Amino acid sequence: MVQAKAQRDSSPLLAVRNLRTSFQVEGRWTRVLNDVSFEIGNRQTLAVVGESGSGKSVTAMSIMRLLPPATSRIEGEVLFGGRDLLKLPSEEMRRIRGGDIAMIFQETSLNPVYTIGFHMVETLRQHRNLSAAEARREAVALLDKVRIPSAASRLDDYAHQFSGGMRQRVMIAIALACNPKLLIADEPTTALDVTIQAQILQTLRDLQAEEEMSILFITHDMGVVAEMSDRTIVMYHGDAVEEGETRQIFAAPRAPYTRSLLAAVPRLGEMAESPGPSRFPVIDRATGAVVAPAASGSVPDGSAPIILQVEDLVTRFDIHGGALGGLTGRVHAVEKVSFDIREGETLSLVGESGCGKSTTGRTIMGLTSPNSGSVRMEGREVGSLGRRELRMTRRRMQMIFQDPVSSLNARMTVGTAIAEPFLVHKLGGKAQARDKVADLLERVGLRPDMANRYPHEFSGGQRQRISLARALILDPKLIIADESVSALDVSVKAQVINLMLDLQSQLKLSYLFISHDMAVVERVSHRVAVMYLGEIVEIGARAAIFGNPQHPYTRKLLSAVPVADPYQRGQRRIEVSELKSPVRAVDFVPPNREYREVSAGHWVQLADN
Amino acid sequence: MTPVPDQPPTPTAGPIGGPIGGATRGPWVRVARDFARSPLAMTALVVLALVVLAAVFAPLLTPQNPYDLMQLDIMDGMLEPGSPSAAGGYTYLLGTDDQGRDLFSAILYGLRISLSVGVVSALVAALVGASLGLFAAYVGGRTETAIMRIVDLQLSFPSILVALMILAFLGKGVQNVVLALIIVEWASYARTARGTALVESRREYIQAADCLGVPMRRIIFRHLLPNCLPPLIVMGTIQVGRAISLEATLSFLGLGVPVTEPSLGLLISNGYQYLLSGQYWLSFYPGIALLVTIVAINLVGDQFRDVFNPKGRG
Amino acid sequence: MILWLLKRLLQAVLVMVAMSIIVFVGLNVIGNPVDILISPDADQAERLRVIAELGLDQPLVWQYVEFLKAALQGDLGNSYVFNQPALQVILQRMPATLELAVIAVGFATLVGLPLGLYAGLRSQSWLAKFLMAGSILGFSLPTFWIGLMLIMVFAVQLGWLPSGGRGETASLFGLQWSFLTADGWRHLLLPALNLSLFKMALIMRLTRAGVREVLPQDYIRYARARGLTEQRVISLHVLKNIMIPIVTVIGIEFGSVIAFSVVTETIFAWPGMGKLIIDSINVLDRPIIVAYLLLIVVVFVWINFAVDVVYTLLDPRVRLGQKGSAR
Repeated sequence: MVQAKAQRDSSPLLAVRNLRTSFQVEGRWTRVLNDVSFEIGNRQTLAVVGESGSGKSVTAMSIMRLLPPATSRIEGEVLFGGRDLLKLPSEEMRRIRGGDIAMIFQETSLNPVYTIGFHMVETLRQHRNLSAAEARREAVALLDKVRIPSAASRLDDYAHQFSGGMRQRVMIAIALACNPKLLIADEPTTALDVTIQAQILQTLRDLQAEEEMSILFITHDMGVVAEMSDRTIVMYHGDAVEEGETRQIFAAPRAPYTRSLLAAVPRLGEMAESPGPSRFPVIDRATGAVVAPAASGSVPDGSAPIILQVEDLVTRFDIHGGALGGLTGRVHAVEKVSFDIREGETLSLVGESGCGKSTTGRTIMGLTSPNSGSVRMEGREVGSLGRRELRMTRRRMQMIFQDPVSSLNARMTVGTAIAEPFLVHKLGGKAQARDKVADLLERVGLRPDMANRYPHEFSGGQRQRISLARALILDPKLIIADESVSALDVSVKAQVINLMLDLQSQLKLSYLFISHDMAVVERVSHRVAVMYLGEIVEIGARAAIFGNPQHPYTRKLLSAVPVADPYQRGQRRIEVSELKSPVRAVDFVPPNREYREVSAGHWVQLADN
Repeated sequence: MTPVPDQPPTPTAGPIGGPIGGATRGPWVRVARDFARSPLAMTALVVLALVVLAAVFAPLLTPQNPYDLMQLDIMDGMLEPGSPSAAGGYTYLLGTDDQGRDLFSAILYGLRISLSVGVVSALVAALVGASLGLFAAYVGGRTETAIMRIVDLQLSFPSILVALMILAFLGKGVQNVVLALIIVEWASYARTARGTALVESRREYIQAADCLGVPMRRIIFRHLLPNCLPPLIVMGTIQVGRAISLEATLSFLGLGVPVTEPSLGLLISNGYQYLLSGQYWLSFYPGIALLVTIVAINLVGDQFRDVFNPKGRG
Repeated sequence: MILWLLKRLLQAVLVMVAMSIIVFVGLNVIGNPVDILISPDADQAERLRVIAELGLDQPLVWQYVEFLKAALQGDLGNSYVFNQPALQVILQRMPATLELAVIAVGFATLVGLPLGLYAGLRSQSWLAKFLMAGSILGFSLPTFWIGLMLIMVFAVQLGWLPSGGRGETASLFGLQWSFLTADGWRHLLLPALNLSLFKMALIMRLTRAGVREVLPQDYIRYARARGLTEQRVISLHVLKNIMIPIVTVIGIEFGSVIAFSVVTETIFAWPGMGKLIIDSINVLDRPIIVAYLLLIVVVFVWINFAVDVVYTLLDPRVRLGQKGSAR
């Protein structure tokens, strides 16, 4: 520490030079990092951004020497306070970990069988010469610092007794325990809801100023990069393809890959002028040339027929518990939800976890039965149909799921899987099915000869395309896309969204697009419904919701979204809060809601009195 | 929510622009290929095949039928391994017992009984257990609870105890042993089948099939069942080994097969009384045969487990 | 927590009742109770007298109630061979079996756990691979055959250890124990080793699997990133997480060892409950069989109950789950 202080302010805190990391896989050494070099100055934040497999996490693990020594090799220099970390004896390196360099991961990284107090005390005592009682006192002070309410009483709680956001705060508190010079944050907010993420990012920024530390922030989210970092390094397949000032990179990316990546990132607010959804521009990863510019999707006119009509839909789940397994509560997953969708239109359901958006989709699809309410598909009440008619109606709407891995049967070829619904509905013979499969594979951007392959031979994005093809074989009018692009890397996500928009204009498809991602929703929707605790709190045309949000929750949600524009940073503050749970007592009676029409078709729920 | 890599997950899959009509490999082909990767498991498979063949073709491979008293020569009693027969003609490779019975022949004939008891009981138990487990997962509710309670109850008692109990009531006999083994084993299949079915049925491909209007029967037989098979195959393999071992134990204790149909366990038991006087071979060689069989089965089962569940590899 | 305990207790009692019904039905429906309860040498008049006396002409449900009533009072009939109350005969043999079982489980744990830990932490080393291959062998070897081989090598060929019996015993709490004398240990060694081999392999494989599962977890990486010593990471963070399932397994396996002692005791002429039950089955001493089954059911139900409670106490996720989830 003395050494570090002696450094002049201008010299970098951490200098990484020609970092090369290789892994031994099945006996062969494979390079996963190629000569990565960068520097972090004092009190600076450097973001390392990239898609999966880019080597961004390996970079951090290499710096910390946390990779398994038997199967990994790290070369190059990692200069920290003048010393090369890669050459330190392992005992000294251990003292640096958690001491001068602290690290946080996703919030699930606390050991489930120990209390958070145990974690804090052991870290404090490992690095600082404290008695157990002193360490406990210090732990309480740290929890206070990261704004955990009634810190002293929570020290003996276990990680699972905290919410995700609070767990991440605990990890930050532990990281601060030994006044680190550098904090390495490896995707710390990836699994958190957007409003919680905003609070955590806020806290990190505040603490960075208070503690005068530098941050190495690893993320896949360009919005978070813009929100957090002074400098950015973009990684692709183990290479640092671009490094520079964050503002510079966003304003004028030089590397072709950076350009293609940024082109695939939706930016909140950029759609204000556009009437309908808009395709992402496509930029060649290798050359940086624009292959296809951004283009507007179709806009249905007001006279297009209504395809789906949902009225007062209610879905609740009973919770059984206690010694006798009695009813102890209910999840009010969907409460009096009403909306309709026209032909060729995309309605997005947006909200955070537990808001009931997925349950709404599943209830409409018939995967979950509603407690009350009606769902009309092309004028026919789905709930009242007989088995046969239900199957016929089912053909008219289809669902695409989130997980590209589990949504295809691993033991069926892709062709068989796509043809199966066509054949079981007896829409034609085998030859016809084969032709149709070939046609659909081409439509979703795959080759017809791929029909003979099995799902494991495809990537995540390709599998989502296959799922689309499988849904389309029944010529549906409506597709319910339940977080269908959420698990995909940003550039793949853009491609799949472009495909969905193309299919919409070609086939006049309607989409119910369920997502937690406001920026994507802005890009793809004609209309948007914001859900909170099972209810729609605001619904209207996309431009109205994003341009003139009325409900406090909509505003909060919008202000929490990290915007991929470094010039807009830090203009908004968000108060510390927790997500509320839709679990209610058995005797809970949902209040009667009233809505106010703000402008034509833009309705907002009136607040409780 | 963590992004999935957008590269095909197996190195074998060609790039998107790869060869047209790329030869495709089904999941079962992949299983076979992964299985063959371990030389140990392949050796075990070969050994197992040899053991089965030896048992099947025992009459052709043995110098005498050890249970045809006409072929036994009392003068050849208790010969050490490698001794020639008194009448000449062949060598007692593994020695003889007190009645002049060739041990090598007795082992091959014993193997037939051991293997068939093990395989038959494991198969019937698998059929009964897996059906009940899948049925429980399918109907749910009270029926499921009832079936699973019985399974839990039974599995909380060690197999040997349950088998002892049944045989104490029923008495000896090959059928009774098979019955006892089935009753002992069905519960683990039921638990595995139900657990897998519950996990698989919540997967999105099942829901997708439902959305696509695929009829229930087809969902169960074409989608659910093939995906529930791997753990059942692993379990089935290992249970055959367990059944053989348990049968041998019961026979050794005198509660299993009757003396007229001696399995390996009974051969070992018969040799037990001579062990202290130094005639080791009567217990030793049948034990080796038993050991080789069970080890081979377990190695094969172990490799199946690794192949089907790559996470556990290491 | 107390409510949960009561519920679990009730379940245990229900299991015991269910098992007593099964044993009773086994007695009366599958076998002929007259054969089972009356000595085969009894003449016709004696049989009739006993049938009336035992109430075998009464309805089955009534008979069961009578059977249960007697069983609760510890009256399970007299052994034909020993001419003593069956329960008493069994209880006399119990210390020998318990002694053997405890030592076998202790042995399996003391050897299996460290080896499994090693194999998990250094899974690439040849020693680890060798241990794993060895554990498959330990899994596959039938206990009785191992017992015979141990006798053959150590008792017959080398003559180092006795081939059977309990050896010299000493008295503690009014019971006779072998582990208190040197000669007793000489007699204990082979049967305990025999009984523990299978469990040793099991515990080793479980430990290794647990370590392999826990090591890649985020909380281990996180513990290292906090600069904890490797020793602390292993002994606190890895070990506590794998110990929860392993303690459970050890508990359950203790019951299984008592059951498998049937085999080992027979081979090593160890005068415990296991040898008694096999002898009794062979000479058709039916009261002993029934008493043994009922007793073992009780023992098992209590072992499982204890394991459940310990598991609940060890894992905070389960323990706190009982109170209702706290946020």
